[in-house]
Amino acid sequence: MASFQFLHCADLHIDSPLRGLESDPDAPVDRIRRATREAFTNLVDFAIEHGVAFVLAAGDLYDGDWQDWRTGRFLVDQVRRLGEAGIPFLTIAGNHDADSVITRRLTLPAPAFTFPSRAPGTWRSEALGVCVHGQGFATRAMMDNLVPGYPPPVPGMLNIGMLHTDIDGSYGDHARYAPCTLEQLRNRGYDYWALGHIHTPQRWETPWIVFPGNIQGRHAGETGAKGATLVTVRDSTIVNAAPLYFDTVRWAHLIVDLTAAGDEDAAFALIRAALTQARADAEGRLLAARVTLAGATPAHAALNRDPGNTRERVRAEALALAGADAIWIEKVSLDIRVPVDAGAMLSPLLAEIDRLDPAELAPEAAEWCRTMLDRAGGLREDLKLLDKDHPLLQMITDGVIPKAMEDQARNLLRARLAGDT
Amino acid sequence: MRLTALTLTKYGNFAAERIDFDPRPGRLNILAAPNGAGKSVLRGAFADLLFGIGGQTPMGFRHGYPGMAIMAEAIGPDGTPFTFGRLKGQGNPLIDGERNRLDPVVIARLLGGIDRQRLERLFALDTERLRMGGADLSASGGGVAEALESGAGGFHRARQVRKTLEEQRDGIAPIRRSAQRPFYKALDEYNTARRQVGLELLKPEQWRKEQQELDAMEQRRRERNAAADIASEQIARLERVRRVAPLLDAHDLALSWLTGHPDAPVLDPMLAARLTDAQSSIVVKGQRAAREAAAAADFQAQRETIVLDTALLTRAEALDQLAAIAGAARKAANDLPGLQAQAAGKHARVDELLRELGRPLPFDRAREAIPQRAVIGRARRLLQTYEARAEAARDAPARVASLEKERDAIAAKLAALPPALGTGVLDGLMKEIRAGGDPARAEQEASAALTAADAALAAAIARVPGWTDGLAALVSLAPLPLPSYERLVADRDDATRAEAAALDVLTDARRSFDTETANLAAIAGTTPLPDQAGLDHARTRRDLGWRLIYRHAFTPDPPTQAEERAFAGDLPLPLAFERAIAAADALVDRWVENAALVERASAARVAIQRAEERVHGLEARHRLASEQRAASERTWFQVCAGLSAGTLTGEGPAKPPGVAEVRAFLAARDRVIDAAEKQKSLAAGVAALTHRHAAWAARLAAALGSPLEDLPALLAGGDQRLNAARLADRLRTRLETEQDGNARNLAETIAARTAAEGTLAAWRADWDQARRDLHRPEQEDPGVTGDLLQTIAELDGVLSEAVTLDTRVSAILNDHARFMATVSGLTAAIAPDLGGTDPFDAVSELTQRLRTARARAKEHDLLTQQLEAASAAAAEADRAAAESGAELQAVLALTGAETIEAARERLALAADRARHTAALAEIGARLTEAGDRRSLEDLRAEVAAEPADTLRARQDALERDRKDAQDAAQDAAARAAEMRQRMEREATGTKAGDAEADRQAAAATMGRVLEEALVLHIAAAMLGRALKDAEKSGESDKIRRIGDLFGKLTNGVYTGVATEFVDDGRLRLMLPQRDFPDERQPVEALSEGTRDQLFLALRLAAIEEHAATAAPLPFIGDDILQTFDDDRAEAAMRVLLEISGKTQVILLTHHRHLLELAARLPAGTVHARRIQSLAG
Repeated sequence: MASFQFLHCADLHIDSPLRGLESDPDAPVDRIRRATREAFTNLVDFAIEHGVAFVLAAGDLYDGDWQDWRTGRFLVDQVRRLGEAGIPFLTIAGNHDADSVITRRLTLPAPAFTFPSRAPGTWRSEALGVCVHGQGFATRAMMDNLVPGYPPPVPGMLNIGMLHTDIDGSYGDHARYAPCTLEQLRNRGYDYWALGHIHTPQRWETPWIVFPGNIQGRHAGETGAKGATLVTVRDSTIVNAAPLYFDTVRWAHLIVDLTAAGDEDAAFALIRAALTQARADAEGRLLAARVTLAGATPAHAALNRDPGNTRERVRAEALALAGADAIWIEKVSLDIRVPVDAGAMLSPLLAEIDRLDPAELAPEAAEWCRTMLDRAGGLREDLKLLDKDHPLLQMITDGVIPKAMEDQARNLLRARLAGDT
Repeated sequence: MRLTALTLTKYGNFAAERIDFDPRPGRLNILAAPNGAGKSVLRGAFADLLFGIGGQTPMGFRHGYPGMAIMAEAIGPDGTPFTFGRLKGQGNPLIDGERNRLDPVVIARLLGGIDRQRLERLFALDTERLRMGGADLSASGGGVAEALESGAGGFHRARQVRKTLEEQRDGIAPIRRSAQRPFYKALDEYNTARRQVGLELLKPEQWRKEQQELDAMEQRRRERNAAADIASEQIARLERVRRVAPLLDAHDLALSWLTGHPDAPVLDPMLAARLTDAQSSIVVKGQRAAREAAAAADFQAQRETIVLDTALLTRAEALDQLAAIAGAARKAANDLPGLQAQAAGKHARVDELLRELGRPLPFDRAREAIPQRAVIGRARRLLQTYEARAEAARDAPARVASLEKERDAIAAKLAALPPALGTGVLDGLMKEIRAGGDPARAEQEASAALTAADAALAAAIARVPGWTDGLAALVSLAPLPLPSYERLVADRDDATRAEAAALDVLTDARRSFDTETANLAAIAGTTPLPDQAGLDHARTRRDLGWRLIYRHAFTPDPPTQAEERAFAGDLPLPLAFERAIAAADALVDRWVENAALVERASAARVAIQRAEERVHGLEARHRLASEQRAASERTWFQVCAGLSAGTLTGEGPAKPPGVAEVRAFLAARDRVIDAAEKQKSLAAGVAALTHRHAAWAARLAAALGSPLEDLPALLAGGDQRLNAARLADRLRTRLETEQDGNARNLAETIAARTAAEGTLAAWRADWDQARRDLHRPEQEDPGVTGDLLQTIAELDGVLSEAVTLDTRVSAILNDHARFMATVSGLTAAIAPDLGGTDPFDAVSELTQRLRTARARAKEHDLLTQQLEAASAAAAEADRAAAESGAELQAVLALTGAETIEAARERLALAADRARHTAALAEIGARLTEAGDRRSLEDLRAEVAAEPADTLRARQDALERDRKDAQDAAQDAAARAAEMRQRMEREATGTKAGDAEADRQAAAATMGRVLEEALVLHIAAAMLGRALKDAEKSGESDKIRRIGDLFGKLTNGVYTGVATEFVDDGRLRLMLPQRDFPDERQPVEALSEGTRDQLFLALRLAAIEEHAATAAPLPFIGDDILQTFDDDRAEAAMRVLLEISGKTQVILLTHHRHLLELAARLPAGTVHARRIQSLAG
């Protein structure tokens, strides 16, 4: 009857750059660029310091299209540290790993263990009374359900399954690789499913089925604390699976409701308050924040009249509040609008603008977008990575003006023409 | 008001003139008169009538001012006729028909709010005033001007907003590439980073390849090292051969000697030395024994010559003691009287001190007056601390009081200080604001930079050749790429050259044609030569005549008269036929006669025909080339006009600009764009700075709790606040420190006071005991007691000195007596001859005698010692000589010889044996070492196998091989190390990741910029569409009416009037045309007449507008139709006739044909008056 702890992580995406952060000489460049490495190093430090029994990494250790050998070298170094502390590092290939040229050349040092890709394999520890079953992806396009092929639980042992998968296909925009259902996992009879692929932490109990999320958020879509799951086994029974946070840059999307702001100063007071709270929530980490100013506010004209200036002011507030090494503003979106009572006084011109059917303008705007993207060469793919819903891409793909763009344009016009109303 | 008649008296060139008008609506009044007849005077008179005759009016130029009057007969708005007029005079009185003054209110009602200026702009016009145009009309105010503005949508600012949006969009992401614009800047960074990613990426294949290269290099290093090791082994073997070969030879030599001398003895090698030593020792030691015996005899003889004084020497010690004390005894005898006097003095002082103490004791009891030393010491120690303790106890209260006073003063100062302020936030904010330097200076520098950028931008714009339309228009130009201009110029030049070439060829062809024509003329001479055509024609005519005669004579279908007439004309058919035959025959005859000439002429004609055809063809080509040249020039003009309105050359539009000018223009434009970009960037920087400063100012004002001021003032206030706070803090700190010190001092002083008082009390207790021990009275002052203690101390000292002196006098007396007795006894015993001599002199003599006796005794003792030493040395030398003889015999026995010579021979043989034996052993050891511990047999075999003569050469070759291998191994090792280092650097570098992060950062920037630009683009498009729709729906009735009037005045050539704002905010009229509905002409593009028609339409619309709200005044047009052609003049009169329904219209003209045109108007609608001269 063994008692021990192990760490379950996934989707390390080591050396995957943080997206959406514009370069700036004031930015803490090293903290931003080494974030994924530092997060994994933090995990290894924790594992060694607390003497966990082993570390499970459920796929996607690095980006599939990233070819720099140094990434693999870094991973090997960290796994070697674990090995020197007697901690096995058990991993499976996810869709990104399967696609990676690094994977084909990488051999992790003992006692690390990489599960096979052709069929499920089992790693046993008689001392711990643990069997870990796992199967990696042979190719990126793994569309088969791998769960039925997993072996039955070994009697008298703690059985853990490792899988890179998308349960029920209900988790956002992640591709449906190796799909399976929650029921299938439960019916397999394992004590713990160490899953990967979904970057948002999820977990179910009885048995434990856990997505730890990725170890470090990489863009504004991956907000909140990121890390791994620390699993506690007492007398060969899992008694807890608790999240641990190893990220060094914390992403947040701050939607600041400015409805109550009577003027521009009041609006910035609310913005400051939101930034202050978010900074506190980041617990000393660098905060990468996307700020959306929202609500119907009398300050809309002042804020919308020159959106660039408003964005710069928000950045300046962040800088003044905590310094460049504490808060980094990724983007400032304006979703503020004129209060209803003010709208009743629209001038004929603004009324005309409100009556406009944006579909009439869409072809010309789409053409402009195409022209600019042609100028940008290979940017299109990067924009998808940056923000798959980037309005330029939407314009070209759908041929309609995105609602957000339409609203921003109208708000901008309201602000600029405020003197004429 | 409508005029019925106007009468001018002594006004202008009129002496007295009455002019009648038809006041009825639907009537057009036309007064036709030549120039100079006074039409303008009449128009001026109408204004003077309504607003008064000016004081210095020029209308008195002929008749002067007296009697000047203007009278009008009119019909009021209500149809009532009335008469009124103006007199030149004091107050320009308004009068009625009876020359009575009228209330000015009357005329005010007629004016309907029109002032003189507006009258002259609307109702009393000549061509010049008419042409003052829309700007003048707008300046005059009124509904038409407003209508014009609303015709532009009333959205001038909205247009500016739209333009700003587009500029902002293009400022960050223009379609035309501009490296300085944020989008393209980020794009460049993006592309650079992407390339950098490719360069910096360390791919696994690359790593594997490098690893393989490293492994290969390591393998090469190992192989070369192995080769070097092999060479080293060979070299070592040859070295061994070289080392052991001579040793083997020596080994063999030694072994050979030993084998050849088996009888050679083995002796102690030391025996040879012992033999030699024994021989020499026997000789040396014999000689020494003889020398020592002679010396002993010599010493014996010398000692026997010395006589000793034994009596004196026996009492030498007593005599020495006596001599030693003789000096002191003599001095004591001399000092004795003085000592005895000192002792008497001390005795007297003791008596005196005893009396001072009140204890008159005898000298031998004086000690009783002195207390014990412990009592005196204790009393003295108490007295030593008395003053300090008494003083401490005495001063303590005063010090406590002083400190308490000081404490109260400090507390008062602290209480007087203002309360402490928390300045941490303010201080932090001030530091934050000043972290980047002086904000005011930063703002000044930013403003200066912006001003410089503004100036640079203005200078750049000024340097754009021929450009006057401002920055926005310049930037918004969409010039072609420079190669396109170059291509267009090349096309134009090619077309020009082609045209010139075509013209040259055409000229040549024409010249050929003329030559051929001249040639034909020369051939034909004055008489035309028959040609084939003429001959064919004659024959055809002849045949036609025959067919007519044949039909006439031989067929039932005779020709008609027309047919005959067509052939024969007026001649009879037969005669015509005959002439036709004759003509044909004559031609044939001439053909025959001039056959050669005809042939040449025919050839010439063919040549002419060909030349003509060629000319026609070349003319077509030339025409085509000309058209192409003209087209290319038009194209060039058009593209250049798009750049700078055709003024690029600076020499007028006639001469097209060249590529150089275009290039210069584009370059200047690019510089302007760059300068504008920089200026914009700096402006943004200034704005950001201003915002930051404003934010700081707000925070600072809040921190200071003062009203919002400019940042420097607030900073100064902050400094003042901080300085004051710091000063107060420092003062408070100092006072608090003083307060703390005071408190400590006070407490210590109070404690000290208490301690001093306690100490003094304890002292007093101790003192009472000491006083009692001293037997002093109870009330005696400690000072008095102290003085007595001094006396006691002196008594103690003096008493001790007196006793000492007494003792010393007594001792001197005793010593003197004893000295005298000793001298007397000694003299009697050993020197009776000194009896009666002064004892001290006797002692001196005896001492001298003793010194002499002692010198003789010492010499005697020395000789005795030398004698004994010489005797002992002689005996020792004899013994040593005997021992050397025994040693010699022993050595001979050891060598096995009986004589010294035989012994030496055996010792030599033994030495040879020992040498060869030792050599053999040494060589064996050296062979073991040099032969690497190999066996002798192996070494002999090795040496035998290597020929000595090639040994060196082989070793050199092996050295070279080894060196090569070692070099190669070192090179491989170095390269491997270098590769390892490089791979390590590569493996630990972060450049690829950094480049990828840079790429993502640039992509983020582009994404953000494009999103911002898209919002601006959509906003601009929305606003543009809204403006367009608003223009359509918001066009006013007035604008439509102006357009309607203008359409009528131009007979429908123009369909209306539109307005738009141009860049500088001015209103511009635009005229849509019937035949070109998609185009709008600006006023500048209209002909003079059309322009006058437009301005007439504007005036008439304004008049209609006025008439709708007030009683209109008559409209007087002075030759306003002079630029109208007949059709439009007629159209204008029809329009004026239409207007006359609302207000009276009076046309003054010097064109009589207007009357003819007016006749085309409906009958009865024109009241025309033709006057030669209006002047009376």
